[in-house]
Amino acid sequence: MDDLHKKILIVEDEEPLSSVLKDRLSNEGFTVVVAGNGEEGLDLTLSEKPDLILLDILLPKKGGLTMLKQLRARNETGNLPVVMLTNLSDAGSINEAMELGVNDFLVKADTQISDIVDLIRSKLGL
Amino acid sequence: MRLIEKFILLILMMSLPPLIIAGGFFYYSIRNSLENQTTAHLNSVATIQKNRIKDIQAQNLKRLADFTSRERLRELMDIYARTNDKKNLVQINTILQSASGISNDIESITIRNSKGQILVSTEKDTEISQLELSQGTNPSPSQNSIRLISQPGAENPSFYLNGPLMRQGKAVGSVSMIIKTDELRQTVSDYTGLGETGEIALGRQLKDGRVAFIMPLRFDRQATDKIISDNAVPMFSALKGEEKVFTSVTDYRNHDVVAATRYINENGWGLVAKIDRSEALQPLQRIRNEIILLAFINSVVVVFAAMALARRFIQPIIDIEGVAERTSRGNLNSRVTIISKDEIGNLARTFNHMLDNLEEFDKAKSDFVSIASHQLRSPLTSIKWATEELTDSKAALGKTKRRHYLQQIHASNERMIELVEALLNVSRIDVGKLPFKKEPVQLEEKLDQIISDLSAMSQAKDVVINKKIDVKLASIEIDPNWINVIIQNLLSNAIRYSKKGQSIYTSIEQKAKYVVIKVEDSGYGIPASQQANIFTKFYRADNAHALGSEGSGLGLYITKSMVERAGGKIWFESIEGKGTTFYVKLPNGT
Repeated sequence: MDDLHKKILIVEDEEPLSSVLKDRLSNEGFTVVVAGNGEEGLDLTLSEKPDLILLDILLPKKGGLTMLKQLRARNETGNLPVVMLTNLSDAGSINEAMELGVNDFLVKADTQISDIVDLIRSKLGL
Repeated sequence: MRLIEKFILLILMMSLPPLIIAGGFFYYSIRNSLENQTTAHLNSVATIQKNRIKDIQAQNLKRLADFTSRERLRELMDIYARTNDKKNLVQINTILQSASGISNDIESITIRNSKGQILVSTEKDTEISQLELSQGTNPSPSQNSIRLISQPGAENPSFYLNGPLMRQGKAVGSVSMIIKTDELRQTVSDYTGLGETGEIALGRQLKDGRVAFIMPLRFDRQATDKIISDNAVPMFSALKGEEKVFTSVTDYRNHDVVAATRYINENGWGLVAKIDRSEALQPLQRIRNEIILLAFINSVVVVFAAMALARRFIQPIIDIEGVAERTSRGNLNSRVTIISKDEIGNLARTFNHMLDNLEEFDKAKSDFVSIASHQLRSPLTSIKWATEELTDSKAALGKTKRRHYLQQIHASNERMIELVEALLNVSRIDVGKLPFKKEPVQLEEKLDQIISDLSAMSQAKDVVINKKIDVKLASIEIDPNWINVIIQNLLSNAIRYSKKGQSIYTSIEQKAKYVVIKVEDSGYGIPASQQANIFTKFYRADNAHALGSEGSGLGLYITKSMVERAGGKIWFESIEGKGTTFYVKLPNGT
């Protein structure tokens, strides 16, 4: 039950999506924290110290890319695994995320939850 | 034909004819003046020559007269005729010999008695009589005469002068003199002022009616007594007694000449002073060449100038064509770089403006597609993930969860249907094909129905909708679907952006020609800085976005389009944090 020690932060404004993800990841044994916007996401990252962040791009208050930039600018979160999970698939967004040092870029509509689980496991070396 | 070729041709066509016409005028006026000049000159030469010839003949006749008027000679002749005394004959011979020695010109003098028999002569008798016989001269003339005779073997003819020796009213004999024509020849061989091809021709009519030259010619030293052919028009004219000028006529050599004619009536000679037309008009040749050269230079200059000019005019068109071509291949960034202030510059600016619009439209279209697809992806993902969890055995969902997931799928599906409907409306609005079917609509009925449709939404937020309807309210003419969309969008926005437990006030007011629908909430309001954008497609105010992902940003765009197309107006008043009031003014009917 190693997974219990791993904490995942989901930053997602669409409640139906975050709730399904939270249910599944909890079932898989992770501790899950959900933030509904970028500001909350940054606060929760600092307070909850998650092992990995699933980050949407289009978010109220603070966009995912801005939040990522701020994470990378901080020592304690500079190397934190961040997986973009968004429905934006344009080259501009992907490139910007890659330049900001995102670890992976997933398009929600093209991704199954089981793929997300597998990716999290491999990123965390489980 | 390319534009540049048309341009050059046009300029050539405009510039060459005037040049050719002016050149032609110049050419013909120069030719005219050259002809006038030449004929005037030939006229004066002909007059001088005629006078000289008349002088020579008069001089010769005077010689004869001087001789025949010698009193001593007449006396001796009279005595000799009567006495037949040889002494007299010796004295006559002495006079003859001294007279013939006066001038080299005198070839011979012969004195005859009244019967025509030769008494004394500087020539041998036989030769003189032979000559006179062959030329048909009269040995017993009644008056002084001068005529030409040709001596066998001589290059030039000679003057033959003949006159009576009178003594007391009757002829006692006659004198005939043969005088060289050297002076005459020198006179007509004087080509001063006649250039390279000018000459003086003298002609006379022979007994048989044919016409012959008198003197050698410049281009025919053996011309004397040669019969003149019919093509020597000026000579025949001169012999007819005409004194005139020809600007272009053929001579005996069949050359085209300018000529002046004279008639010497004392002996019936014709005189022609002439010069080859080619020489007379020599300067014209140069002028013609200059005109041709000028026309050629003009053409070259015109072609180059036209090319330069055409390039100036046509290059921008080629530039525009290039940009149009790149644009048609899909490159919308290409622009025409022309700054001229003329029509082509205007075309370029308009063209660039069109490209700006095209690029904007293209961007708007791709933005629309990307935003629309993004908006569709959220409910699609929700359905995808919920169904994955429902069907995945590992998920092991409880009954409540399963029910929740199914509700979530249903909601996402509803949202997609709404979104697709909104997108379809936007697309119809954009192409101007939104179906519109007017019919009478009872607004209060409509409002009640919409409030009821939205009850789930309003109850979820504990929001109460209060309505106030004008008692005078009549039905209005509008598409029922449109009025449905308009009111529903305004009310659902009011609920969405109200805070929990707040109230919404809606009213419909009847005016003379229109109704005003008012929807007032006391919710979040629209930030002042963003109020100008809220009717823009997909635009959502920051605070609206912060509230959550519901709302496509299409509702107000569609609402405004429908209101305006129905002939109405929409506006609002809003203060951030205090609430918003929307007003829709719609005409009663047509």
